[in-house]
Amino acid sequence: MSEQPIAVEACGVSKRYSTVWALRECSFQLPAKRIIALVGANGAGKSTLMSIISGLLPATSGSLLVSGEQVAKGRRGAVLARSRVAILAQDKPLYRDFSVADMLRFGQRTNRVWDQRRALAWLARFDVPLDRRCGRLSGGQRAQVALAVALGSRPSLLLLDEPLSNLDPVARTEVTGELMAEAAESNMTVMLSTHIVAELSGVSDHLLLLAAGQPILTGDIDQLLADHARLSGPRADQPPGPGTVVSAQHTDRQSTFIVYSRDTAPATSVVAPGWSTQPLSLEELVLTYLKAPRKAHPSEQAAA
Amino acid sequence: MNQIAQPPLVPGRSNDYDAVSRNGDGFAGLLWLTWRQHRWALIGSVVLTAVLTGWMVYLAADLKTIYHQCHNTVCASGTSQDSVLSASFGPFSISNHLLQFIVFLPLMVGVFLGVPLLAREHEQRTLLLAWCQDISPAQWLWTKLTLLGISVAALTAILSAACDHLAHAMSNVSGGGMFAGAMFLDSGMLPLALSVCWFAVGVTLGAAIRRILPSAIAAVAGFMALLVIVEWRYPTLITPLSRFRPVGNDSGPVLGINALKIKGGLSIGPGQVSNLFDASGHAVSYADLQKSCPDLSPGTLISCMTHNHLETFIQYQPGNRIPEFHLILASGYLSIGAIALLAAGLIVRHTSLNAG
Repeated sequence: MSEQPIAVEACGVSKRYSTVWALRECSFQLPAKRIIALVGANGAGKSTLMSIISGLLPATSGSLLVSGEQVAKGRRGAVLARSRVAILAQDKPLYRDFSVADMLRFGQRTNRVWDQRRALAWLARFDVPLDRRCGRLSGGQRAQVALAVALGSRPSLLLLDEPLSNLDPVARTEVTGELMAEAAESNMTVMLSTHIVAELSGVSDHLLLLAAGQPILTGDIDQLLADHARLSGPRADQPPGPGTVVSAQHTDRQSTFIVYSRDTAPATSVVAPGWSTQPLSLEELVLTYLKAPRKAHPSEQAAA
Repeated sequence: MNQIAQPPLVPGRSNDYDAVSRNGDGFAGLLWLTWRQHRWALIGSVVLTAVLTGWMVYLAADLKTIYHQCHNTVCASGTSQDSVLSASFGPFSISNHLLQFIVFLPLMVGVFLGVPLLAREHEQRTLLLAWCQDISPAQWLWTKLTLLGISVAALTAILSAACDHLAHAMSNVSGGGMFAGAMFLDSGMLPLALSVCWFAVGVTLGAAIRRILPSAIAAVAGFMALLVIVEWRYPTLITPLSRFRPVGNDSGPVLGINALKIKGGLSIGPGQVSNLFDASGHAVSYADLQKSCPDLSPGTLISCMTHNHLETFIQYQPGNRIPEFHLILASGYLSIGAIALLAAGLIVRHTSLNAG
């Protein structure tokens, strides 16, 4: 992590609404030029974290750097090109009485840098009519217009809060594919939040998992999947191989452990008779951590 | 940067955008955004201003003609000019109704231009869009406030001038009245000051309440409260003049044109009399009055009191103080507007948005 450029670095970031903590002591680093999945249950603090990163919301405490530059609320006019952040809010707000073309003009006239070709190309890909009023667009088309405005501003970091929620399954696949292509072409970091993990398979390459306002798992997805395995065998109190137990399930005759091991790949380390190892899918990994009690987050402890 | 030809954004409309454009400080962009968002409200305001101004200029010309026909004095009763002036739909009556309507024009400015500026953005969550571009919230707020505020000031300055002109024409034909009611509240650039004030108050209410309808209701309530307070308190903003006035004289020649009588009514009831004095300034009791004027019937009482040099004590504001009063009220309105703008700035500064 330390060798690659950092897009976002949080140090002890907390956010409190009245008496409720939305985020609590969040510390993490997110690599640049990657597609980062921000995953968590409803109310985990995903939108709050994105709002703080974008500068819309001040953190109660802690510091947050985007491309090495301190994020400050209300300072968007002064940001440097390398730390340009665009955010697509969950409800994809647009000016209802603006036409789609007006929305692009809005983007062009309110941004120091604007890529008209990129915005137009995005809309053309999804057949969004330029002369239609935004108030008359379908939910999916509204999402495409909002994405086009966000992409047109050529951000170095694009924050997408539940970007696929208004899209049908075909459009979801198309949008994620196009987003990956855009990110690869422009060296842009994309952070997309969702609570539907199945949407992320094959799309994102880095994971930040939030639970109750705290990061409980972060890292490259391939590495995280390689570091975890499911061990099944006869009933036992401990798994037969090395590693830290993330979760354990027992029946009368069988035990199943989800094991984390950074140094020794769990999938190849089990030699005990009667035991089998299986790799985890991303969805299984996320669900395991979300269900596991807070103290049993070994990968976080290892990272610390 | 390569120049790449772009297709027109809308068929039949050309654009010369570069593939990647680099813009300036954002003022031109905000000028476009303000116009695009508020163009119908602004066009409506221009049309309304033009109609009202034209109407008032026409009515003032009508009243001036009548005034000249009456040899530049109040038309005598029974003349054809007097019957035109006192007609229900005559120029004086329409002018009066028009000025009554314009008293409430600043409220319309507040409700239709001020309140939606931030409340609509909150309701439609478009601040998330506006404040996520390369424009800071402060820049967004102050540029829009300046542009819309200048528009409001320019349009209401024209209206104020027309109102003032009409009020003077009405004062000429009626022999005064500039210090009271709509003629006072609509003259001397007060509509300009109050419109700018209420525009700012509307913006602040929208920023604080974040919903259009409740903000508009609050604006209406606030405006009515301010109107009542102003009507109640303005006669004594400067210490009034006072004097004894012989019973039987009307206020005009004694107090001067456009004077505002604040106190001085004579009251004669069963067994009591108030505000009646003899020539040396001593209060006259009911018994004294009965001695001097045994017949208290209305037909003879006034002539009896005049004959006995009885006087009433009056407090009034002379007509030449009207500009001072306008200045005091305009300063008050503008101060309220300035406080409201300051509050709007602070509210926006502390407004936090959540993408979720």
